[in-house]
Order: sequence, then C-alpha cells, then structure tokens
Amino acid sequence: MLLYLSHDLLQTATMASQPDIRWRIPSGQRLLFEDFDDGIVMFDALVGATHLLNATAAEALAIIQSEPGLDTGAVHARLVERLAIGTDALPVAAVDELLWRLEDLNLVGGFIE
Amino acid sequence: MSAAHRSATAPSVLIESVLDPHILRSLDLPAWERLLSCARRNAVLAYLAYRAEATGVLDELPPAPRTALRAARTAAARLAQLAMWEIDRVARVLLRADIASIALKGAAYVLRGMPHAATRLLSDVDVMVPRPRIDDAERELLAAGWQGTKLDPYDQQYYRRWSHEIPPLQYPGRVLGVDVHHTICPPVSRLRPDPAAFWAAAETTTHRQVRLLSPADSVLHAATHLFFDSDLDGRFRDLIDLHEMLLAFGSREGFWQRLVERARQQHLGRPLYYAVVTLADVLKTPIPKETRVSVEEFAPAAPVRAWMRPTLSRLLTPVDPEPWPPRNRARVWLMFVRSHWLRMPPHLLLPHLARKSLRRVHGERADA
Amino acid sequence: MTVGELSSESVRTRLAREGLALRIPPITVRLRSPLGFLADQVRTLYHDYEFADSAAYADIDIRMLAGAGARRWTRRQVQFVVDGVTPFEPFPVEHALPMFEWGLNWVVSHRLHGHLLLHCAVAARNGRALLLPAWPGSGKSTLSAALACSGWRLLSDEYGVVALDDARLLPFVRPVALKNESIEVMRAFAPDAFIGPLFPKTRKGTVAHLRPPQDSVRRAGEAAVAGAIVFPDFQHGEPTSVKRVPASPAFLKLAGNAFNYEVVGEPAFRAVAALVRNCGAWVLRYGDLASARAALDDIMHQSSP
Repeated sequence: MLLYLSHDLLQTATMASQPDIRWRIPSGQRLLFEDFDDGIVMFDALVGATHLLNATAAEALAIIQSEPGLDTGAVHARLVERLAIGTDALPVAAVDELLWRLEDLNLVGGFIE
Repeated sequence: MSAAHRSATAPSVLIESVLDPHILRSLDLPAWERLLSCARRNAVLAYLAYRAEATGVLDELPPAPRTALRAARTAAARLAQLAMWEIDRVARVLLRADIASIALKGAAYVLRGMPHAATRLLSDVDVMVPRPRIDDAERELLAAGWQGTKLDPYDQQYYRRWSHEIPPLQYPGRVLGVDVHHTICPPVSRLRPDPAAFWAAAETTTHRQVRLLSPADSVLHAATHLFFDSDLDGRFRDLIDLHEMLLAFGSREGFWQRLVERARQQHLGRPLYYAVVTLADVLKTPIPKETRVSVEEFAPAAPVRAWMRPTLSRLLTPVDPEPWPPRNRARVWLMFVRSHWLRMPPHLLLPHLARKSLRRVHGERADA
Repeated sequence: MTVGELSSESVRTRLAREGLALRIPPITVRLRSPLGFLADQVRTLYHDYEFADSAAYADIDIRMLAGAGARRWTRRQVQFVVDGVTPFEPFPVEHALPMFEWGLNWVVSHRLHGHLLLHCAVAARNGRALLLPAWPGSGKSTLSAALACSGWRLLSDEYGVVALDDARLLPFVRPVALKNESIEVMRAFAPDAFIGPLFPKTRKGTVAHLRPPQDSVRRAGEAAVAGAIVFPDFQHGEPTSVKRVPASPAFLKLAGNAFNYEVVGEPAFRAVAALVRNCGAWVLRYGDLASARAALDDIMHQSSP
C-alpha cells in the first residue's frame, strides 16, 4: 500500500522502524522548465505556481521525474554525480532538507511502500 | 420561444442555450452580446462555455463571442485550481491533527472532478469537520498560518451560536478563503438533519483523505442551502449546480429512491420538493415521474404551494442585466423563510448580515 | 469615421441614447451616459478614435449613470454599471471620466484572458517594442507619455498585451493618465501635447489625461515584436544610470507584475520566457525625463536587430 506522508507524520513514526521514504512526482503533477543563464524557472502546472530553482533543486526534480521511487540516499548519490561535486559540498542531510521543502510545495511526494 | 425570435429575452435565450447549445449557431452578434451579458450577470458564462465545448459547438462560433467564452472558462478554471490547492493545504493540516473533513459545495464539485466544477466563480472553499473538533480545527489552521476575520467579541459570539460555521479564514496572499462548518444547516432552523448520518454515508477520496457527502446528501445539501440559506436573488447558478448533480447522479442505480428516502429520513423533504419542482419548471431537468410523485408528500399546504411554485420559478430564472435600476425580487421569500423556517425573529439577522458584510470585506467575486 | 468628426451635440445624443461604440483595438467599448459633460470630455480625449455602429457587437458595455444614492442631500454621484452590476462604490459625479478610465481597466483586466496582460507601459521605436513595467515610484506613465511626445509610437501606458502564440505586443492605446506633479512636468516637457481637463481630489490625487498621438491611435492595430525590457526607477534629482538585470529575476519581476499571469497559466509562462529570452532587461534609474528618454533611445538602438 502506498501512503503519502507529511514531514510531521514521519517525525512521529517510531524510531525502531525508520521507514524507507521513496520519492515520486505526485500524480497529476506536471512540471515545466525554462533554463536561463543564471537560473531555472519552473512552472507547476497542477497548482499554477512559478518557482525559481537553483541547479540542485532543478536536478533533484529532474532525477525524481525520470526515476520515480528512489529513496533519499539514491537521490543524493545521483545528484552528487550529476552536479559533479563532492559529498562535503552536498551532504545527505542537505538533500533530505531540500526534498522535504519540495514536498511541502507538493512538487514531490514521499511514499512508503 | 425560440432563440432566433428577435423578441426572445436574454434570460430565456440563456436557458435555451444552456440546455441545447446548438441554438447558439443561430444567434446574430447583437443577440450574442445580450446573451453574454446575461450569462455574466448570472455567473454562468464559464458554464455556458463548457456546455458549448461539450457539445462541439464552441469552435463554430464567431470569433468575438468565442474569445469571451474561452476567457471566462480560463478564469473559472484558475479558481478551481486554486480550490484544489486550498483544499490540499487545509487537508494536510487537518490530517496531521487527525480531524476528519468533508468538502462541501464548489470544493466538492472540484474534488469529484465534475465537468461543470471548473466553471464556478468560487470565492472560498467549504469544509465540514465533526462538531466536537471544530475548535481544534480552527486552532490548527490558525497555528498553520491562516488568519481569522476580525469580528468584535459580540459578533463572534452570535456568529458561533447562530451559524453553522466559524468566521471565515484566509491564508495571507492566497485568493480563496476557507469556511469551516460543523453541520450543514443553521442549528436553530426547523430543519434538523442528523449530522452523524451525513458522516456515516460520506465517501472517501484519494485527496489527503478528504471526504465527500454521498450523492443524495450532496443534492439535499445544495437544495437546503439554496432554498433555506440564501436570499434566492440571482441564484440561477445554484440551480444549475443542482441540475448538473442530478444529471451526473441520476443514472446511478437506485439513486432516485435513495434521494427521496434520505430526504424523508433527514427531514429535508421540503427543500427537495422545491428543488424538484423548480428544476422541472425552469431547466426541464430529467427527473423520473415516480420521483416527482414521491416528493409531493413533502409539499406545503395547497394555498402555499399555489403561490410558492411560480414565485420560485420566477426568482430562479436568470436576472436580466439590462433594466436599471435592478429590482430586488427576493425580499418576500427571504422574510418568509426566515420567520417560518429559521425561527429567527427578524432582528436576529446578525449571522446573515455578518456573513454578507464579511463577503464584502473579502471582496465579492464579481463575474467581470 | 472618428469621434472628433462628430459634433459635440451628436456625441452627447449618442451617449444619452444608443451609446457610442469606441474602437479601442483589440476591443470595442460601448459607453452610454446621460452626462453631457462626460460626452464632451470623451469627445476630446478620444478625438482620433474610430467608432462603430452602436447596435453592433461590443466587447464591453459600460453605463455611467448619475445616481441620487441613499444620501439625497449629498452631491450627486455617478455609478459605473457593467452587465447589470456596479463593481465599485459610486464616485462624485464630476469624476465620471477618471472613473470610466479606471473602471474600463478593471473590466479589461478581468476579461482579456486570451492574452497575457502585463502591468507595464509599452512604446515602440524602430519597429521594436520597449516594455516599461510598473510599480510604485516607477513613473512609467509619465515616461511613456514623454516617449509618445518624442516620436515613439505609444502602444499603451498601462497594459503590455502579449499575444500567447508569438509573444508580440499588441497595442491597447488609451488616454495616458497623469497624476499630480507629472501633469506639470509633461506640460513643460511637451507644451504642444494635448492634456485634458484636471480632476482634483480623486483617490489618486489630481488626475489629467494626455491625448494619445494621432499616429499611435491610427496604428493601434499593429503589433510589435519586443526588443527591450526596462524597469524604470524615478529618483528625483538623481543622475541617470542603467544596469543590466539577469534573465531569472527579470522573469519573476515581469510575471509577478502581470494582471493575469496565474489565470492564463502555462501559455503565460511560455510567453514571459520568450520575452526574457529575446530581450535584454535593465533597470533605469532616472531623475529627469530628458536624460531618461536619451537612455531609452540608446537601449533601443542597441537592441535593434
């Protein structure tokens, strides 16, 4: 069974069984991108909102869009590779934070399978 | 009277074209302008556009009316999109606090994905929570960033006591407000449906577990709201919503029997009676003969009925925008309803007035 | 036939009876009003505008009606009626013309969703359009009036009407609303320009309208490709300076400053992207009209194909 989770619900999950959160673009969601020299502007067609993204956020969304169902660690690994930076520059915790912020905007959805 | 007839009134052309959009092909441009103006005045321009598109007529229309119809459609679709987002944000908060919720009215049509849902000019989303949780719901939403309406303590007390909702909430920077209800009828009214029955029959959705009233309850709620909780002035739009619901649900197995049975059970027969007779009269809504016979048991006494039916039909046909100044047609109805059904002496009109004036504060959603 | 070719008697009669259907591309606006002085003012400011048969289709029908209001003992008021509703509180009757202008803007902003409506002035030079987005303190109306009086073609002082298919700018030529000090500034800058009557004590202070140049009105059906985006910033007494704005903030400023970007949605997103991709964007800090105009001439010259 797939469940949407919000950040707070996750916090209340028992420590003993840390669920494995997987990331997807929510169904019905459509993200459109326009790349400029100094940034990427994105249109969330479901909600009708426009966002200015940095390279990290844009790449994270592109990764999740092309490979739904990755967990945070896997997203981090692909990000670090695509951006060609070290884990020092982008720790997993920062990616986790980013994903929950995107989740807050309904741009990605967190699932337990 | 056919739409091609030069002296056909704009309201009658509007009704005809909503029921059979093919007649739009016969309109000349001056007739179009009158029709568009009437549709706008009655907040059904986007709906007319949807009807034209659904019957394949939209693309055949002259450019200027076609552009106007499309633009109205775009604006209404945007409001439906905002409604989905507002429900999403509210439901997130309520879910976290383990508060069940039922989406009502326009928000419900949107959640159901009804084809006409994206043609309403919403100004807020309506959500019902269980009565014991209403204070929690308000507290959670305020804590999560929504803001309450500034009412003085006197108004607050009367609002909460007489009305079936808390004062409207608004998330700063967003367009739609949120009305949180704990029942569907004012607690003092003679109509006393059992809220527990609504919850028991409610359907779940996949949208953060927000629920919907059952089809029969949705119809009864809309009918109650139209005939007993509004002033009936310019409410053609609400009649259309009832019409669309009956079209959508009418083909479901056993729907009509459930509708009548539910009305009987929940003591909402009178609103159902008014809905059925007015829809049959004004919009020729296809309603089975058995149902039309059954609702007669809910009718008022013969003298009242004789006056009521033509009055309701008259009040709920579209308003013609051309005559100026406009006449307020609905005062008589309003007084009747309030004194008989709401058990509210005329001087206790505060909830209605408060709500109306609050709407003005938040901005009327005029159909420009 | 243009409005100015009608006698003032004729304009008064038309307004009082069947209405005057002004051609204001891309729309037709029918105005009906019993107010004779309003008819005179409209005839003055819309002097060069074509009008249509009043019985023909109008996109917007407006009635400016004198109402006694609830307070019979106060001065007379005027109401703005469109499709049988009054979206605004009544104005003092002598402010009928500014009310008509603002009211028409309101209706347009709510209806013309077949286009992206940016909140900016637009003027064209050398075949390319310059967008001057608005915000408080930009002085965009005065600036666009100055350009209009300096040989630029005026497309609009208020609306960047962007076609959704190719991001070209469509004119929506109207009398230019000037406020307070700008009125005298414009009189000094262009003594030959026609400025209509003054309306003191409106909600926005003293208001007057510059009649748009006849050539701009005549070419009101002619779209223009966007060439440059300049965010004006009026700072009294300051020297004029120009600074480039990178694409992403330019995008957000344009989109955030539109009337119906969210309503139009995806096509608006694409149109703004096209504008930003094809045009440079600058901030223009200026203290006087003459040097501002020179700077804009420069920018447009650089931006020419």
